[in-house]
Amino acid sequence: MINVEQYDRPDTLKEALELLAKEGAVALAGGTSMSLAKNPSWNSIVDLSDIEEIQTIEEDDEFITIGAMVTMTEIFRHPGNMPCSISAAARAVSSTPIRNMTTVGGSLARSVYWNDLPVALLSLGASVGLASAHERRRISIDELYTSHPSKVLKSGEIITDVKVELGKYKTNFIKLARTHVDYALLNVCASLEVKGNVIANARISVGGAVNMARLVIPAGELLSGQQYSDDLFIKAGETAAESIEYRSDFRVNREYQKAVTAKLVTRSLRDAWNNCECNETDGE
Amino acid sequence: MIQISLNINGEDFDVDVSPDLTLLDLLRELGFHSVKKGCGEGDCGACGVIMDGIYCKSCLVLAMQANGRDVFTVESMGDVNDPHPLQQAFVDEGAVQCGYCIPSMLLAADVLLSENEDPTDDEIKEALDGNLCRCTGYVKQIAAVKKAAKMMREEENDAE
Repeated sequence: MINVEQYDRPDTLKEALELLAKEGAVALAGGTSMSLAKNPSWNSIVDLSDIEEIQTIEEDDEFITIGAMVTMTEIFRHPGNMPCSISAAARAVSSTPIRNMTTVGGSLARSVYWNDLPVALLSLGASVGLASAHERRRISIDELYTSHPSKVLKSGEIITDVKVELGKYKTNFIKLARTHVDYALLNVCASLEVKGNVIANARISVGGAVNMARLVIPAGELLSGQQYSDDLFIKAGETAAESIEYRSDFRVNREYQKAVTAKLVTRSLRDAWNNCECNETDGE
Repeated sequence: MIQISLNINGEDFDVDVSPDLTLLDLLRELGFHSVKKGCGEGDCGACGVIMDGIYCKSCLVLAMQANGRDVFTVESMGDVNDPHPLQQAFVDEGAVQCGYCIPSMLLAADVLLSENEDPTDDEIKEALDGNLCRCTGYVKQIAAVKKAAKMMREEENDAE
């Protein structure tokens, strides 16, 4: 950080991408992690906050596209068809001043274990728009999370938006934390593609208790193609609890992480199925 | 050093800043001591300011990010001789003890009342969220914001 000699705040994405193509340039989104970072390899900062084309939320009949510089506050205040688990995840982020600063792109690119929003986006099978000076491409969020997103992004490449299919899933997001502003002990999001009484496809994701947001594929596979039954949701919770690798957390022990994962995955599946509102819990 | 220009409480400033200087430290260096450095890492909220209409934590904003921006601190709201209704209501309701968290609470409440002239308790709690107070238990600040909202509505009605 101390070696930064240049600061730019371009108005267009094209200009930003040209600046980011230079060695040592780094993109600045909401900035909540930047001021604490001490990376000596950065020599120039490209602030993305004046680029209007990545600050909008657009909807058509099929998709909602959320620009990378949209903040958490803007997401949950959006008057249109924001999927409820995305709104709930955005609202679950820390406190009002942090939600006013934190952006979609920053949450994904700088993923840390407690991030709330990526858990919802993973469950909903979002796609992610990427851009560099040389190329525009779109990848699935599953691909972005095959490793840490910052490693999947190529040099000089930034996230421009996330795109989610509207109405495809019944979905529910739950954050478990000791207080509203604390980092999540566990985040769960369940999304069910329902055809009649059959779960055509289930995508269950977790965060907080793991090193980085991830899909829990075995639990989703257990449900996909099956007739609805509550026993199946209990079994999916147990499967999820058994199949993830927990991070060590000084606040809680492994047994607690496992027990609460089983319970909250089941609860999230029930609430998704019943179209219940997304919520937060203190573990009661 | 990087040269920036910003407007603080209506006054223009041209300053050279080091790349790792935060807006919080810049404001304090320039004499805006109402902006407090509590944790310095985004937890306590004592450094809250309004930048281009958005309430944010100035310890998480680099000074250079404020280039070309309008920044407001509590010094812009009023003083002991001419207090803002929020300041008066905080006094009237006994919402201030040590006072450390109050400048940022006032700014957070000011943004709320500019968007919502009659907020509910839950809306006030959400607006003040992220400002830690270790003295009062938050109840009186909520009452104070409600009272200020009422005072401001009445002022507006009187003006009409």
